[in-house]
Amino acid sequence: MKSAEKATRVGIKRPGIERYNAIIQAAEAIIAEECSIVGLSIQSVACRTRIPRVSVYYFFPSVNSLVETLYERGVERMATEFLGEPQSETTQLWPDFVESLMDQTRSHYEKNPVTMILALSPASLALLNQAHQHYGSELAQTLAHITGDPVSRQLVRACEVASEIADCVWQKSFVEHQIILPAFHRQAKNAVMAYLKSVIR
Amino acid sequence: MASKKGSARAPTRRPGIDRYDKVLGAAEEIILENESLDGLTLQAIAAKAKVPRVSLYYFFPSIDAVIEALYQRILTRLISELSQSFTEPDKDWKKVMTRLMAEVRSHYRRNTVTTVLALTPPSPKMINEAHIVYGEAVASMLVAISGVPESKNLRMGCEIAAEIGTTIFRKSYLEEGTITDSYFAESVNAVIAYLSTVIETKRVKKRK
Repeated sequence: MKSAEKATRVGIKRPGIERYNAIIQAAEAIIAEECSIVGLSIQSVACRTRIPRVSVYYFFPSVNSLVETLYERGVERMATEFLGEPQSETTQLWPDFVESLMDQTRSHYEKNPVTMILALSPASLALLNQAHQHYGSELAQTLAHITGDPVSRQLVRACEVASEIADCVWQKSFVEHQIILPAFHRQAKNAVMAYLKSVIR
Repeated sequence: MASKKGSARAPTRRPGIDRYDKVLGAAEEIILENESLDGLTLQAIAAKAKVPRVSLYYFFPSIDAVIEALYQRILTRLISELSQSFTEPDKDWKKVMTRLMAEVRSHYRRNTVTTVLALTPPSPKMINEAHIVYGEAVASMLVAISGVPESKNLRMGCEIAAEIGTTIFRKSYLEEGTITDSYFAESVNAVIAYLSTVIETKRVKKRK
């Protein structure tokens, strides 16, 4: 495992915030263009943004800390997009909810391939694990809300595992075909639903 | 992901084979010592194996080529161990699958190098290929031992099941440093629940 990097700094004042955002955008653009994080370096980001390298280092002490930040942003975006606030008047059954959530997630990945590429980088293994924990606990809250059951530790863990399962099937498709094929998406759904049904009674 | 400089060149003659094995053995030792792929470089391998770097490059144009060859080695080892312990026919594929996963878990416990490579893979492509090979092996075991009908869906299902099983093992490994009993149970549960949708739906269709 890579040791944890120094935490990144965030811009506080106006010019700082602008620079910070420019760096993030440039990094995302580099990943999207190359479909991989191999070309991402402090140097390449500095080149693209025309921000001096020292200033990039000021915010991101290493390329890993940049990857970490990008990844967290991606996950945060997803969690708020789908799981933000549970619809209070929902009459959906939980299996329908999970299935539609998976459809939304797939189309989110299609629109944001950067998130998927970041998830595939080995540097992200530990991050990915945390992301699934975060996502899993949000999902557990929502499911508990729908089913009216309390949020148990078991449910949270099942949601974390379910989130890992979906991702690993999508990733297989992405690695083999560079997109999430409908056939793989179906398998991902089957796997998640079959697993969750065995846990949630 | 990682740059491709070509795969390993397999040796054909005796001294070559010895060197090749020595190199891979040294690579395994390094992984074992660090319990990670972090310190694995061609330089470190050359030093450990006491093989001149030039001849190392002759076989392995890059560190990725070494890792690729290691994957093949650990897979062959795992699969041959599994196929030796599964010879008796057993109609209950779920039971067979559960036993199979228990064997894999115990294999991981005994082989740190396999654990590191499988659970903290250096590249998504390599682990993907390993799962395809492994998935095929599992599919043919289910066919041979439990009489599950052979099909493209089954093979694909087993590849995906392998990914699912590994993903949950990995979660346990990252969080707890080992594959705990409760994550193992989740993993078996998830794999069997998923494979049921692959194996049993097919039977229903056949009856129609």
